[in-house]
Parts: sequence; structure tokens; C-alpha cells
Amino acid sequence: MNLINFLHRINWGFVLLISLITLIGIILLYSIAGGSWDPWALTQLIRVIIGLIILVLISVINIKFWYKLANPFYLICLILICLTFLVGKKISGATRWIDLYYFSFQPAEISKIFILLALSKYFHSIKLQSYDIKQKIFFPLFILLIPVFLIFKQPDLGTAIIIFLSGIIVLFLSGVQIKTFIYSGLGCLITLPVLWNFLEDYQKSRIINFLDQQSNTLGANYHITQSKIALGSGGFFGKGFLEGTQSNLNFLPEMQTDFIFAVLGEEFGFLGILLLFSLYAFLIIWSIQISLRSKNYFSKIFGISFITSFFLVIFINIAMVTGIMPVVGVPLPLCSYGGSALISNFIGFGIILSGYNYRDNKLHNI
Amino acid sequence: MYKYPNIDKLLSRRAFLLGLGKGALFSSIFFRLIYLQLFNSDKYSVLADKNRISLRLIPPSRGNILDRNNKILALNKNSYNLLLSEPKNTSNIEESIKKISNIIFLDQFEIENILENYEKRKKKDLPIIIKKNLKWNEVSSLNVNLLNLPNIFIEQGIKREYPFNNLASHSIGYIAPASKIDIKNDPIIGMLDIDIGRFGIEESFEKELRGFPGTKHLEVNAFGKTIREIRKEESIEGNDISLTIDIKLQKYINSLLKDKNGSVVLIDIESGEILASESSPNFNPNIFTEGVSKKEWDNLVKNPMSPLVNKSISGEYSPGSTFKLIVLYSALINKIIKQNEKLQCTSKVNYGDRNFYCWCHKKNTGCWASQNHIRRVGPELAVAQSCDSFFYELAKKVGIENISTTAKLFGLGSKTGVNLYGEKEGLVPNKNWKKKYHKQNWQIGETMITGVGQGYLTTTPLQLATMTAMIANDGKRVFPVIFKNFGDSIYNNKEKDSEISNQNNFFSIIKKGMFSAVNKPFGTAYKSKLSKPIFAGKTGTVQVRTISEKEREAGIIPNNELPIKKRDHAIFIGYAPYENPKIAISVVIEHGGSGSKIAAPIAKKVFQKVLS
Repeated sequence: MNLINFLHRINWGFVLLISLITLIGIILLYSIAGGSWDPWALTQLIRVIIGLIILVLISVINIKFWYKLANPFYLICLILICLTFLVGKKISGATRWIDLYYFSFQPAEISKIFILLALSKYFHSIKLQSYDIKQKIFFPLFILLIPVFLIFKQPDLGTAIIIFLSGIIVLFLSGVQIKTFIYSGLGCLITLPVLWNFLEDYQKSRIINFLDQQSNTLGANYHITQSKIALGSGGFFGKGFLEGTQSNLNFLPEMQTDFIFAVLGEEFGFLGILLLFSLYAFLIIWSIQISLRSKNYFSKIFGISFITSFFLVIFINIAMVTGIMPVVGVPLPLCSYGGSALISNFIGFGIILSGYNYRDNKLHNI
Repeated sequence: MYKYPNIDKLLSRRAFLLGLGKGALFSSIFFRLIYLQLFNSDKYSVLADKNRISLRLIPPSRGNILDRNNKILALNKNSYNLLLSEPKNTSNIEESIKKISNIIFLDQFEIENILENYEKRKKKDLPIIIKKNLKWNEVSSLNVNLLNLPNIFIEQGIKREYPFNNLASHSIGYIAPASKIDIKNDPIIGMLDIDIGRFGIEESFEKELRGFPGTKHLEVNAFGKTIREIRKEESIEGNDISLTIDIKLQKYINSLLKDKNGSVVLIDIESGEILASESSPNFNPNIFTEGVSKKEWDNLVKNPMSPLVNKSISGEYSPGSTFKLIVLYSALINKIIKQNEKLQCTSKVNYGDRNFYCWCHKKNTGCWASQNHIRRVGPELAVAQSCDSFFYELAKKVGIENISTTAKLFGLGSKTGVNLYGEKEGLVPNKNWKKKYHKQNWQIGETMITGVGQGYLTTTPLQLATMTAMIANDGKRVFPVIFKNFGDSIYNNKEKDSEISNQNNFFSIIKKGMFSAVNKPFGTAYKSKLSKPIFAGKTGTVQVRTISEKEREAGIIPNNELPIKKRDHAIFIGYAPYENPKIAISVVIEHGGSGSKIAAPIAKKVFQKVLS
């Protein structure tokens, strides 16, 4: 493979689109720091560059490679998640939360990709034609629920929910009957009170606080109140770059990570949000389109389930920031400050592009 | 069994369904954003400004108080306060206090105060005052050590200073921290965290002196730290107030009243301006600014001579013989007695089953008249030697209703309207009053007692001085004032030119009596006679105890042998110069003894000082 051939294989338009979205994130991080590259924007820029390199490299690797290694990667992820329990506990002292967060969050974010890969491979290998309920539902659920449960216990409710939903999407794509989803949905509603008991106290209080937003502005609802003020006061045109008072005066909590969307809404207004939405929509539609063009189920299932999961994270984040969902602590994909989520997404898009580059490979007899 | 017709089709269909789901979810956040950013933008903009803008009040600078010659009696000086800025970040307040007390002295009381304030203000993260009004050496030694004291800083503030300390303290007043009630009535005081006027002019002209606070719009961050100033409106200084008091004169009078318990009021007859108003003992208003200690406060409150009471306006005393002037005027105007009419004078008057004694009764010397075997006494002599029996008879003839009407004409029994808080009305009794408050009928004997200024009758020293000024003025009304002007407004009284009628020159008869009292050998104040200026006056000696018939037989115990509380009040009222009256005075010395011996000499010295 010579260089020209290599460069030719890269989908530059796609790379540019992703870069534009990450650029918005970097601009916001620069503004949050009061017009400074420190402490977030520069780090994020470096991560983006590394991420883009990873994306490009992955995109030129044959999809066969990912297909073959899907199961080993899945197992490695499980081990990593388990390891964070041990390591996290060993190190945990007064700063337990930060330690836990640092060690646990990373594998959970990355493992999302590999759980989807493993599920996609599984369904590809059974050719989607089995009607055996054990084969079609129970085994994939088993693959899915082990890591979800572990991540939930870490505790990282946001990521656990997203991975769970992503896995369900794979099941949906793979032709599990719609009535099955309806029945199990109803079943879940009935068992919800039981599940409630499994939640940690702070998780319960978050949900309670969400349902009771008007009562306590300075307490736990501070986050949502402030982000609504930031978004609302931004109006249509926004307050302007570096002019956001909610962000620059620190009224907005967690603004470099979970609440970065509120900063966008405050400084660039509804207009800025429309721009970001257009870029996201473009990226999602493009991804679906190129995934469906693949000739193997593996790429199709992975591509669509990954992009749906990508969309779900965006939705949950914005729904949380705008106050229509409880604070679950998920970052805004490609924009929020944070390495693992960013890299994880780049890997995912890389695999989608790889599937596109090798769309003619039917992955038979492997 | 369900069979999939085409797996590729199935995948596409499911992907399409997912796309629809995405679209639905996306619309929900899209409409939510339209709601927040397009429809409720104004509401949230206000909330955002509420977050970031903090309104701070700038305390105004309090107006100065000046004396009539523009000497400053009260002013603002820079002071340095030691503050703890962020109580939330100060976990160990005890340690901070310990560190500070290694550098400057903090007494137990102060430390308790700091700890109490710390508990109160910690939640709101408001600064705590560690020590107010640092001395210069404290400031410099703290400055050196400030780096080792996190969150501790020296703030420049303003403190009220009274350069003349005790002088005229009752008229000037003092300032002290506002009470909860003050703050409730005027919340701005609480917001400004300023001291407010507590006495005298400081209290009664609080609004004028205080000025108007300015405002500062500050941009603050989520931690309450100020980022920048958005807008500032300067405060408006309080108005200066010039008093009518002459502080030099006040100082002299203060020295005359040293160790005495009483009051001297000196007023300008023409304008009614109070030239000096001394109430003894007095207090130092500066101690309230420094933060009055419990010991100092107890000393003031528990002192039996009540230094915190302005006796000139709040002390209600029987006027004693000085009231005889009013009885005489009432008799003349009601034609009870003719100008030269003489009455029988005895040292004892009988009425009903009671004896009414003249002051000269059974005295070795007796009065001049009795020494000279004069049995019938006219008004001039009766005033001059304060003939009690003359006035017992006269009062009986005039009657209490006439006497009280006349007394009220001279301003007795009601406030003079001087702009000082705490002014008392005194009391001028009459038949209705007694019925109303004692549910009894008026007795003629009480009229006789009132005729010599005893009994229910009470007056304040300021009322006495004002009354004297009106007599000296031939009945032209006098309204006492304590301030000349504040800001642009000048004191103006419409009633100023009104007159008590002066038919038939009755005032000259009274004034002649007052002249003789001081300048004739038979006068009660003859020993205080002055050649320059020649002054006129009337003594009064107020009995504060009942003398039994038995004691009278045995001989009345002289004042200097009685316990202080039982001794007579000494009173003198007068004006000078006699020919061309300019100033009027009232001297009241509680339990001082006789008016002629104690009060008259003080008046003499004041007249001498002012007019020669």
C-alpha cells in the first residue's frame, strides 16, 4: 500500500466534519477558561489530533481484523472493568470519588465500542436467521448485561444506561420482534420499584431532585437551574464569544464536561446550537448511509448501533442540560473535555469508515 | 413461526425505524430549546443578571456638627479596622485569634464578640470585624505580619470623633450601633451597617446628618468574589449642622459645674438661641464610638447623678421662689393687686388647720424687712427678698386657675419645641388637672404652696431660662433653638414676634424686683451683685423634704448637716445687662443648698464672663 493509495482511501470529508464538531468544543473550552488555552483547550486539541490519527489509522485497517478480534477485545474490556474495582478500591482514600472516576470511567467508555463489536459479530455469525429465543435474545443479553451490571456498580449510572440501550438497539436491529420489546418494556415498568432499591442513595436523590425541580434552587437542582439560565439568557444570537456570564463567572457547574452545551447556548445562542445540530445531524445521517452500504451484517449492525448510541448520548446530555431529564452525568460527544469518551468515539467512527472502505468484504468463512 | 423474507430489508427497515425514533427525540430537545432560548430569553436574562450583579451600598459620610463660631464639635476621622474576610475558608478561628493576639492586644470581651460574630456571619461568608479603631502602632505591627495571617486584612473606615470630649455632650449626643428595632423601622441602616445617632442633635437630626447612601453595581462570580465594577453612584454627604452653642462658653460653664449635679442654660433673649446648655455630670461621647465597655456603661447607668440625662431639658424641678414672678404678673394682670399695694407680712400664715411658714421663720437673722420692723411689703420688696408669706396671700387671692393660665403664657407646662429628643413638659397644675389625675378637689392650701413654686408644679431648666428671657423682653415671646442652620435651610419660626400682653408696664415692676434681689442690700442675691454688667434675677431654694412642726420648734437642720438627697435644690434665674437685656440664664443645682449661696454665684460668673 503506497502513500497515495493510503491517502486516497481516507474519507476526508468525514474527517473534516468530525474535526468541525471537535473545533466547536475546543472554542468553548477556550472561552470557559476565560479566553485561555489553559487548562482545557490545549489538552483537548492534542487529544483531538491524536484521536484523528487513530481514526484515520483504524479506517484503513481491514474490517476483517475487527471482526476477528471482537471477542478478545470484549474479554479484555471485562477484565479492565473488573480491574478498576480492585485498583480503585486499593487506592481509594479521602479522594475516593476522583480515584474511582478516573479509573472506572475510562474502561467503561472504551468498552462501549467493544461490547457493540462483540454483539455485532455474534449476530453476524448466527446470520440473523435463528429463531431460537435462547440464541436470539438470552445469549446476547448475557453478553450485554455482564459489563452493564459491572459499570452500574462502579457506580456510573449514565454510562451503564447508555451501554444497555446501545445493546438493546443491536437486538432491535437484529430482528427481535417488536412485540418482545413491548412486553419486556411493560415488564420493566412493573419491576422498576425493585430496581429502585438497587440504586445508590445519591442516584435516587438525583432522580427525586429532577422530579422536584422548583423547590430547591441552591441545593441539588443548582446544576439544572444554572444551565437553564445560561441557555435562556443566551437567546437567539447569544452573548458572544467570551461574554458568557454564567460560564465565565462560574455559576455554571461542570461546564467543561457535562454542561458544555449550556456554554454554547449562552455564548452563541440558538444560532450556535443550530449549527452544532446541523453538524451532528449531517454526521449521523452520513454514518447511517455508509454503514448500510456495507455488504456484511457486521458492519451494518455495528455502524447503526454505534451511531444510534452516539445520538443517544447527545440526546441524554442535552435533555439533561435543558432540564427535561435528570442529571445522569454523560458528556456531550466530541465537544466535552475528556480523553476517553473522545477516543472511544474516534475508534467507533474509525471502524465505521473501515467498514465502508472494506464494504465489499462479506466476511464469509471466518 | 415467523420467517424473515429478506435480512437486508429487515435491517434497513429497522434502521429506518431507529431514524424515526431519533427524529422524535431530537424534536423534543429542539422544541425545548426554542422554549428556553426564544420564548423565555428575557426571563432568564434577568436571572443571569441577578446571579452576576451584586448591589452594594456606599455609606454616606455623616455631616459635621459645628458650634456657633464654626468650631467642629463632631466630625469623621479615618479609622483602621481589622477584618477577617472569608470566614467560610477559615476553619480554625481560635488559631487565627491566637495568632492575632500575639501581635495586638485582644481582651476576653472582644474575643467572645469575634467568636459570636463568626458563628453568625460564617454562613453568609460576610467579613467579621476583629478589632475596630486600631491604633497607629497596632496598624504598623499588623502590616508587618499580615502575610502570615491568611484572610485577615486592615480596612480603612470612618469613625465619629468628638474633639471636645465631654463638652456639650448632651446637646451633641453620640452614635452607636443600631438596634434591631431601628433596623426594622429603617432597613437601610442594617444594609449599610452604620452607627446611628443616639442622643441630642445626633439623634434628632439623624436624617439630615446621615446623608444618602450611594450604590455600587458589582459583577461577582459564583464564589461572591468581585470581578469588576459595573456602575457607581456616589453617596451624598450628610448636611453639616451649626449649633447655637458657644463651645468656649460651654467649657467655662462646665468648669463652674464641676462635681455638681445640675444644669445651666444660657439663652440669647433676642433670638432664643441657646448659647450654652450644660447638664452636669456629663459623659464622653467618644467612648461609644470606641465600643463602650460594660464597666464604662455601668458607670454611666448606675451613677445616681444620671450623667446620661440631659437635665436642661429632661430634668423636672419645682421652680421654687423663681415662680413668684409668674404669680406676681398674674396678680397684676388680673388686677388682684395694684402696683404699689402692700400686703401684711408675717413669718407664718395660717390657713385652715395648716401653718405656712416664710423662709425667714425662726431664723436668727430673719429677713431684712423683719429686721427693720417693716410689716407691710410691696411687690418689689417681696420679690427682692422672696417674701413667702406675701406670695401665700397673693396666690390665695389670684387663685390657681389664673396662676396656671399665666404660667402657660410663659411657656411652662409644655415643651419649648427645641429640637432635642427627651424634652419634658414639666407640670402646671390646675383644678381640672387634679380632678383628672388625682380624682380629688383642689385645695386652697395647694394654691398657696404653688404660689411659692412648690407642690405639683415642675419646670425644666430650659423652660425657666425661656421664661426669664420673656420677662426681660417685656413679654415678647422667646422660642429657644439649639441649631442655627443645616444645609440651606435656616430655622424660621412664624410665631416669633408674638407677645404676651404688656399692659401698664407690669414687667417693669417685676424687673425692678429682680433688680433689687441682686443689687439692693435686702435682695436675696445681693452677695452676687456685679457692677459690670449689672444683672437682675431671682433666687429659688426648693425644699425636697417635709419639715415637721416638731423640727421647726427644735430648729431646722441646716442643709450641710443633711444627707445629700435631702438637701434643697438651689435655683437662680436672671438676665443681663439690666438696662438692655441680652442674655437670660437659669441655674439649677440639685441638692446644692440655697439659691442665693450656690446658684446665684454661678450666674454671676457666667454674666461676668459673657458680658465684660
